[in-house]
Amino acid sequence: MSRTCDVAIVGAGFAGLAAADVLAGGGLDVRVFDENPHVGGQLLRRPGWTSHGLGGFEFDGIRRTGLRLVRRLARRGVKVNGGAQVLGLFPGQTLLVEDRDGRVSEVAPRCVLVAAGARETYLPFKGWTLPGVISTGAAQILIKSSGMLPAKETLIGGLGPLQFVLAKEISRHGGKVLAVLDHAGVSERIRLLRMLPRNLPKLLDGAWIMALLAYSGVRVRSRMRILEASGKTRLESVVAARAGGDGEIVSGTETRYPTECLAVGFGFAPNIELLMQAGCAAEHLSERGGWVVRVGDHLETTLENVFAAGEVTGIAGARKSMIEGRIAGLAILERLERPAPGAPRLVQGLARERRSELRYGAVLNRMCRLPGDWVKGIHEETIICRCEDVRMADIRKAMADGFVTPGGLRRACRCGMGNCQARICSPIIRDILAAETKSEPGRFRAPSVRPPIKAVRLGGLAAG
Amino acid sequence: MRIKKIPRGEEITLFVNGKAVRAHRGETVHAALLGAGCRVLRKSKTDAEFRGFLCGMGVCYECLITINGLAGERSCMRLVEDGMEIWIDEPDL
Repeated sequence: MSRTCDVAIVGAGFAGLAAADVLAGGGLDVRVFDENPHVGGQLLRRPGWTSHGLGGFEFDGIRRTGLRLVRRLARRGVKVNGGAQVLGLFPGQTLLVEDRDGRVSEVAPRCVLVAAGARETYLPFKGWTLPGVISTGAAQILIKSSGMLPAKETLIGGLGPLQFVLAKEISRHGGKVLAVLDHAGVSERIRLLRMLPRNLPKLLDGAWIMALLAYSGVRVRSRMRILEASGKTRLESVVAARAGGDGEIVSGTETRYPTECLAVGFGFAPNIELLMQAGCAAEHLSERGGWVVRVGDHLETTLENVFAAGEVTGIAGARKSMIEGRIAGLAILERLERPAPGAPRLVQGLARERRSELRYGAVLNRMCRLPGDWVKGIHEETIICRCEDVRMADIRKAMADGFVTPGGLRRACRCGMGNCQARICSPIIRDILAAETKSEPGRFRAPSVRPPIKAVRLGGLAAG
Repeated sequence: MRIKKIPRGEEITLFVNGKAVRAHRGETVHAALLGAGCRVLRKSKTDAEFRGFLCGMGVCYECLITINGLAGERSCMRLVEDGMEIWIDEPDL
């Protein structure tokens, strides 16, 4: 069979770019595909101007490293196909790709590396479908890609470190942050931070961000639960209240925030859809952020010549992604009989760094884990599956009728059958099912995914 | 709300439900629409509730709009082009 190229990389974030750098350096013909119009994944987006000024400083330095990588790849002439969606991965490492103009074609490399990154996860509340309720990542993207603030005044809520990073970014670009409503309490934060001492740069970055927030006068309120978002056609106000030690709402603490934008985020889920569709084995590891693809030490999946790197093997941030991109790159060079000089020693060093980043990832994922009791607080009218308008009442009714698996719920009430192919509601549904059936979230089978893994126009598919 | 004092691409014109709207090259369509005050982008399939973008990264399909006659385009994944004709569900215009 004639091969299109040596290696196809799915995803132009830190993992994909780091691998492309290693592979192109080894003289291989590499093609990179990314559905985003911008190179650099969710961290870089359109790079350049955001790294200036005091507020742009970071101890970790990961963004600077990423920018250097992008420049080096451009010098090496590695082509990144932006706006290109990979629709499926089939036996013999054949990819089905829709290019930016909607043309569908096959790409048959000798090896595939999937570095599809992660998406955000959500805790649904009444009114979270109103225009103006966006993810913390979406707010960051507006700023980074388009130089646009999400609103004049933004309210931020949720769990994890991103909400503080966002508050800093909004403040330093002249926007106002109404408040940061932290789902976690101060004592939980401190307990988790004590697990971080081996990662001094990240600890310093955290302290730096909190100092900048204090300096900008941003209010941080801990143990806050978002109860309801309301508005006629779009978000007008948000009601939140404080939770006690037992997780119950303390009555009398309800506060109404008038705002046209609420940015929320409750952690991350790996984008393993392409790997699942291809038939790679997956495993549920809560310290890695839920369902991840199973890989060996050289990041090969259970399918020969299909490798995976970055958030798809476990959520741990850009530095781990970059390390894994290099490991996978070196492993693919070896497989294609172009071993890099000194590769075994390099891989050993990278494996050590990877373990350290995985420890950081475990803290991050623990920071974003919700206690199961949040499920019973979901209001009946709350939409769970946004694509199909399936509400909590529908889910509870279906469960009472005996549909207590993700597949069962899909058949009973169309939950997860819409355009996003359950990418948004699947982690929520699994949490709901685990809580209501009193079982572990990993109990249910890994998501089954069929091609095309993203929506595609029939015209393009038929012509290709 | 556009951030001040950052370099922007050349100014171009979009037509949103027939009305001329200013944007800059390099911006994504959903950002340009937000800049024009359009938070509502479409109505949901079953209950016809108003929706806007959620994830901004091509995952949630909440920001689907009609661009140059093609329905169901993810506005967060497209960059603006001069003269682009966009149709969204009212009522922000």
